Order: sequence, then C-alpha cells, then structure tokens
Amino acid sequence: MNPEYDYLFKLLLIGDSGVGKSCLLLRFADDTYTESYISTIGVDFKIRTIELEGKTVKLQIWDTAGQERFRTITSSYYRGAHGIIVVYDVTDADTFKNVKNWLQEIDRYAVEGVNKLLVGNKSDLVGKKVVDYNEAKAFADSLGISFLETSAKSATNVEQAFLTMAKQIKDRMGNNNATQQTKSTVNIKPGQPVQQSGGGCC
Amino acid sequence: MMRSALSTPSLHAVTTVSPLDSDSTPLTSAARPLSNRPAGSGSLDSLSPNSPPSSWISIHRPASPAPAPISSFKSPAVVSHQERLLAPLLSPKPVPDKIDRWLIYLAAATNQRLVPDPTAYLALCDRFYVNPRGESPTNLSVSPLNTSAIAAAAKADAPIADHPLSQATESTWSRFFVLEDVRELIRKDVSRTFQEDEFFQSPTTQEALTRMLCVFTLSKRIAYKQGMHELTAVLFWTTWNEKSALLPPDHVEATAYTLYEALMLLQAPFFEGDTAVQLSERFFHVHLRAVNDELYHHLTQLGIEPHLFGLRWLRLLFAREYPLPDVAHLWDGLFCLARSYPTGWSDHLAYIAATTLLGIRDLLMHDDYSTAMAATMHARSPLTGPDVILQTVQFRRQFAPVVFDLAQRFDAKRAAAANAPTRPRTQSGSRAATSPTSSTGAGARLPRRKSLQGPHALGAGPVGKALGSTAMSPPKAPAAGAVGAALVATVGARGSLKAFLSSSSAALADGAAVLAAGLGVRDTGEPEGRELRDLKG
Repeated sequence: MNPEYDYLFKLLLIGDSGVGKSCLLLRFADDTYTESYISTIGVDFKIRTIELEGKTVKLQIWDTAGQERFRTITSSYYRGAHGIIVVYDVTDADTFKNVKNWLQEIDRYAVEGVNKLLVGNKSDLVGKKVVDYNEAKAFADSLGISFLETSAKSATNVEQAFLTMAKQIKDRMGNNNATQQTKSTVNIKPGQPVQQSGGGCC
Repeated sequence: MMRSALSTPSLHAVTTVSPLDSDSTPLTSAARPLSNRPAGSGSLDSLSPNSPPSSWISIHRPASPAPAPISSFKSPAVVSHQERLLAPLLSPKPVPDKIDRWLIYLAAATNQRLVPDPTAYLALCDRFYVNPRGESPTNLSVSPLNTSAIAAAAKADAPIADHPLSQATESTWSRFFVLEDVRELIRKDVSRTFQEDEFFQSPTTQEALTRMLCVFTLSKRIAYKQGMHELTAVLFWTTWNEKSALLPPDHVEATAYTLYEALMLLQAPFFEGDTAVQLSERFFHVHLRAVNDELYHHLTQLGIEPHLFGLRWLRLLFAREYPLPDVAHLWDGLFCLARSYPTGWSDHLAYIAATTLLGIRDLLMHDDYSTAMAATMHARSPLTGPDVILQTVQFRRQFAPVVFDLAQRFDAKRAAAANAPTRPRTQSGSRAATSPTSSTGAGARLPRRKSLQGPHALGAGPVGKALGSTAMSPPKAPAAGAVGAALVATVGARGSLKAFLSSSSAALADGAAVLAAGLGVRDTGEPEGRELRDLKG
C-alpha cells in the first residue's frame, strides 16, 4: 500500500462519442460495467497500478470526450501522453471511418513516436457487428499499429488492451535504456497471468 | 459556514454597514424567503424593494436585543438587495417556487422577458421537431412518469405533400433529415443522463429532454454540445417537481424550455472556443489564490491544470459536483446572484468554483498528483447547496479586493505572454508525468519514491475505489434543523473543512476591520495579507 512505482505512463483514450471509452476505462480501473455510463464532459481521469515484467507501472489514464474538438482544449490532453488508444464501435461503421480523423489528431498534437493502439469495442454485440475484424486488422497493420477487439461489457480483451499498450511503451523506454526484454508474460496485480495478445511491439 | 463559530464582536459592529455580514450569527429559525409572494406571479413588482418582511431581518440579527428598524440602514435599496440575495439561500428546506424565482432572476440577468408560452413552444416544436410520417410531432400531454401512454400517441392526419427526395430546403423531409442527425447525437447523451434517478430513465422524460434540445439547437442554430443535456435535465427536473401538479405537461415543458433558452444566453460561451478554459485559469489563479493561498500553491506545485476539471464544472454549472437537489439549490443562489450582479456571471461561477475546491480540500492537499486530480474529477463535495452559496457570498465580500488585484496581475501577465497560453503548465507541469521531451530517453523511469502519504496511498487497488470510500456522500442534517445546525453537523462530520473554516473565521474577524476601514486588505498573516505583500513586492 504505497505509491512506489518504477514507471509512470500517461495513456489517452480517444474516439467518437458513445463508442465506450469510459466503459473501457471503468472496466480496467474499477472492474465494473454499467450499461450506459454518463457522457464524459471535457476529460475524465483514472489510475491503476500494474505489475509488468517485474516492474511496478502506474498507468494514468485520461478519458476524453468524444465530442470535444476545440484545439486548445484537445491539444492539452495529448501533452505528455506516452500512449494513445483509439477506440471505435464495431457496431457503428461511422466510428470506424472516423478513426482516420483521430489518427490525424494524434499526428497533430501528440509527440512523435507516441505508442498507438486501435481498439474495436462492443465485440459482445455479435449480431450487430458491422466492422469486420479483418478489415480493421488490415487497416491497423497498414499503419503499423496494434489492434484488438474488446468488450467492456464482458471484459474481453480489456486488460490485454491496456497491458499491450503499457508493454509497448515500456519496451520503447527499455530500448533506449538497453534493457529490453522480449516476449515475456504480463502480470497484473491480482496475480492472474494474461497472455500478451496482438501487441507486436517494436 | 459554521456561523456560530464565526461570530465575533467586531462583526456585529459591521452589521450596521451591511446586513449581509450578520450571516455570521447563528441561524436559529428558518428564513422565510420569497414564498410569501403569490405563487406564479412573474412580476418583478412582487419583489418590491420597499416591502421587505421584517422577519428576515430580525432572524439574522438575533444577538441584538432589539433588531434595528429598516430605516436605520443606510439605504433601503441595500436592504432590499440583501434580502433578495439571502432569502433563497438560507432555507434549510427546499424552497418552493424556485421556478417562479428563476424566471424572474434569469429575466433580470439576461434582460429578457420570460413568460412561458406553451402555444409558442408547440409552434416551435411543429416547425423544428417535424415528423413527416404524420405522427404527432409533439405529444406533450403525457406525463413523463406514465410511460405506457406514449404508445397511445395520437396519429395526426398525414399532411405531407413533400417527397423524401425533394431538394427543397424547407420541405418537411429535409427538415426531418436535419433533425434526425441532431436527434441521434442528442439521444446518445440524454439516455445517459442522471442514471441514478428513475425520473430520467422514463422514456417520456428522455423524449421531452431530446425535444427541448433539438428545438433549441435547430431554432437558435447553436450547435448541440455535450453537457447542454444536463443543464436541460436539471431545469426540467426542477420544473417538473414544482409545477407538474399545477400545470399540464406541455406547460411544464414550455416553462423548462423558456428557462433553458435564457440560461443559454449566459452559458453558451462555455460550450465553444476556449472561454471555459480561460475562466478555469482565472478561478484557479485568481479566485482560489485569493481565498486560500495554501491550497492554490499546493495544487500549483502538483501541476494541476484547472481546465481539466474546470471545463466540466463550468459547462454543467457544477451539476455533477453535488447531488441533484443541491444542484438546484446552488443554481437558485447562483441565479439570484446573477440577478443582483447581472454582468458578473463568470465572476459568480469563479467564486463557486473556488468554494467547491475548498470543499474537497482534504483530498486535494494530498501529496500526489493522481489522487488530487482524481479528487477534482470524482470527489463529491461535503458541502450542501446552501453551504456553497453562503460561502461564495462570504468569499466575495471578504476577498473581492484581493481578487481584483490578482485579476489585474493575471490579466497583465496574460497580455504579456499572449503567445504563450500554456504558461501555467510550464511553470509547474513537471510533476504530472514524464515530459514529452524526456520520454524518449530514460525520462519515464522514475525513482522509487518513499511514501509521503497515508490513507490514499496507491498500489493494490485502483484509486477510483479508494476515492469512492473516502469521498463521502454529503452528510445531511435532518430536515427540521436550521441551517446553522446543518452546517455545524456538516462541519463536525468533516474535519477537512475545519482548517479552511477556521482560517476564514479569523479572516472574517480581520475582514470586519478591513471593511470598516474601507481598505482592501490588512497586512496580517492571513492569506490575503500574504497576497498583498506579494503584490507589493
């Protein structure tokens, strides 16, 4: 019970309104889910500390409002971010189409080399799914970023998404520190081993 | 706040100057605010400055053996003003007729004539909330709580000569398509509004909120932005609670809409541009600094950027910082203040924001960026609506000169650094996370730090949970208790408030001398004293 940590990473969740950014964060940080979480106004903030390859990593996660477009406001969210998770809704094609715009925002506001991850949320709604996994995967591959389909509702892949992100950032830092470790298991605090998935890192 | 503790002899001397100062005396009986006014009378005349019920004056001055007659005050206008200011703020119970007052307050604050007109509202709905398929566009005669009645919505005749593919811009279909886009956006938010409250889960309530927002968006051509839905929600909830027994549903909705239109004249700037960011900076660097130097410097050292939470506070008018009934009460006071100082909307909000920050001071004084930041986002204030307004009024009275000086300095710095809008961050932003420039190297590697703090230490659990357990729900005094008792109870339950309350009580005592001398500040050890030296230096 003390705030010691080896790494502190700032993560940012972006994407259209209603794709489930807040629910993903709620699931990851508090391990709960509500059917219709309140709309985020401005930005929300939660933290969670994880164990990653024997290191304590504190994740500071910023959950942005999907609708906010004003430059001075949004640019301040990107400041200092180590990793950015772009979220779309697999049941809403428009939100996937808009991913391009969000990636442009990253180019505009985030530091170069920031780690990116594409997440298609609401994967539990199989019957309503309109964005094909392979299409999204191909799109992510073409940009050289990792991709995961998640469900905040059923908790599928939520841990993996954040841990993938954390590991990529750590590896990037590690690269520079010449302490890179490859292909290791990721452990989260409750002691449940989680398979590293998707995250082809550096 | 804890007025019994704040009562000082020097203050009593001031009461002859302004009855506002007498709020430092214990409140032993409920204030009788404007409820003696005939309900529903929307006339300003009903608040005639010449007829203040003497009962209110006396209850604020119980320590005086014989309450001074009204004529002993310097100016009758001041008396009347103070009454208006204080009347709705001091009641321990929900004050009736909020809606009637709000119509008056907002009319004065926006210089509009506010008379809810269901016929005009229905006409707006017909024009903008079109349904070319011929279903009745508005079915306002259904109770929001009677959901099954929606299904019985009457089908009107199909009057449509339009064709869906018509290019005419004013065709019903083209307006319908515009509406559909807006409505989809708005519904996403309306369905997520105040979920803990059953009222807002009713499809009829959601339909009413959606309709009001759509009509407003399309008729005023002001783009819908997230957050507007919660302003509408608070207005509709309050209107419904007070008026649904008296008025038909369409009149209730028209009344809420009228209030919303007026409120948006004041609030709209916060939804566009960086007005909200600017005011966040201001309430932080000016108002908070003026009222509590220590907290201000602590947060500055942590690198807290005020707009990260201020944006939401200002856009929603603190609707998520307090429970719904307290929000209505807080707005009551805010609108009342806005009526008294119509040009000071931003200033009122700034003082309330500073008060709200002080309310969660304990959590904010934590020596950890994340805990403090999360507190600004999630901590529920222990203050009640009346607490907030009283404290706000007190702060304004005590610290206005300091605020004025700091604001001048703030503006000067701003003008000087016009091309460096991120100034507040750069002076203090190193704490939040590794900086972008250093993150390419070993910068993100932080040394293991020994714990400096106790109860909110991070580690095993997510901080959201830790906060959940420490951010207590506001302790409510029994409804029968007077405000004074309620405040004492609140304070008693929250050690967190003691520090700032005691400092304000001392400052209040100083303030009496200050006011008497007509000076802004005294060079004492109090925060404002330090500020003054700061300013001189």
